[in-house]
Amino acid sequence: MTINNSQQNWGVMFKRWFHQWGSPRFFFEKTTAWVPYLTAMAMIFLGVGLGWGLLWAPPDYQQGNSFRLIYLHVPAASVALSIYALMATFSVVSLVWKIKMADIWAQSCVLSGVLFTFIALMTGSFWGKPTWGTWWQWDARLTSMLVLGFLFIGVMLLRSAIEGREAANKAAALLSVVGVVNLPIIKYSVNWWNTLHQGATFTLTEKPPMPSEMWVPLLIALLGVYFLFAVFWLLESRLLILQREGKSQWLQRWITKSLDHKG
Amino acid sequence: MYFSSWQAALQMQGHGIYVWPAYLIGVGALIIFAWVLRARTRRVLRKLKRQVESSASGVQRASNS
Repeated sequence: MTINNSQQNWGVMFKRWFHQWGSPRFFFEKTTAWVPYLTAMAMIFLGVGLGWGLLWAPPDYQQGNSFRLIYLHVPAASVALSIYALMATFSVVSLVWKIKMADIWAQSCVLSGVLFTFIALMTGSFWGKPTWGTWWQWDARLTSMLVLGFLFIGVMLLRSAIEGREAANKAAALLSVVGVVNLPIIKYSVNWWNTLHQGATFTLTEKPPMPSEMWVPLLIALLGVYFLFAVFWLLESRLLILQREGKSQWLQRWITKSLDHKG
Repeated sequence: MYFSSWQAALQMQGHGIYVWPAYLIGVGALIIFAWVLRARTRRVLRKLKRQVESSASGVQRASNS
């Protein structure tokens, strides 16, 4: 009896939680206070991680100082993959349950995805020149990462090219889901094929193959980039709510209130 | 600091010409992205405020002023 009851309670609570967060109003009002904290975290972690990596960490015994590019390159590449996975997850939710917010959350990933994929490819190129002697190589890791960039751009273009929000959402969500195939290809490309690219720096099972004064700043920069994406994603979601829910009463009241504050 | 001087940090034993531009472009891209996001939000907010103001009744406007 008691077990059944508590299970029911959990079910009710989950349902309520799910419905609350599925509401644009709840999301908009709840997250207002989060933005400054997340921004501060991103600035602190990125400042410390990148500064430490650039100026205080020791150089690599083989690659010398060019290895300092790792502090921007690895975090950008890692977050780009995570952003794609997140976008695809929200796309599935929006396709299956037709939740308004899931679609907004998926769309909020796209531009950040393009940005971080670009940074990963650009820093990689600057790293490739002194290390491999070339800015670009059609190698498995580099090519699959370029495909990730094209997938993000494809989703972005689909949304703007198709008229009618519902059709555009559906097409973008479908492309996002199909493109998930590329994620394991990127991740394991360095193991499956003979590539120029080196293997993973961080794995769950082994210690990083470098001293702690090298990998600690990398971990900090990694956290910073994830916080920064959280800020971009949140702001983009809020912007989309402003665009889509402009006619709703709660938002008009919110705008009236902010007008009064500024006098 | 690992380097003996700022000069040495800038040169990075010849790798500075690869490391610093990459960081400059990368961090620059992040800043521009944030700035554009802010500008887009402000534009939408301005438009919404105009709509609310123009649809507000005369009574409300009187009480505001």
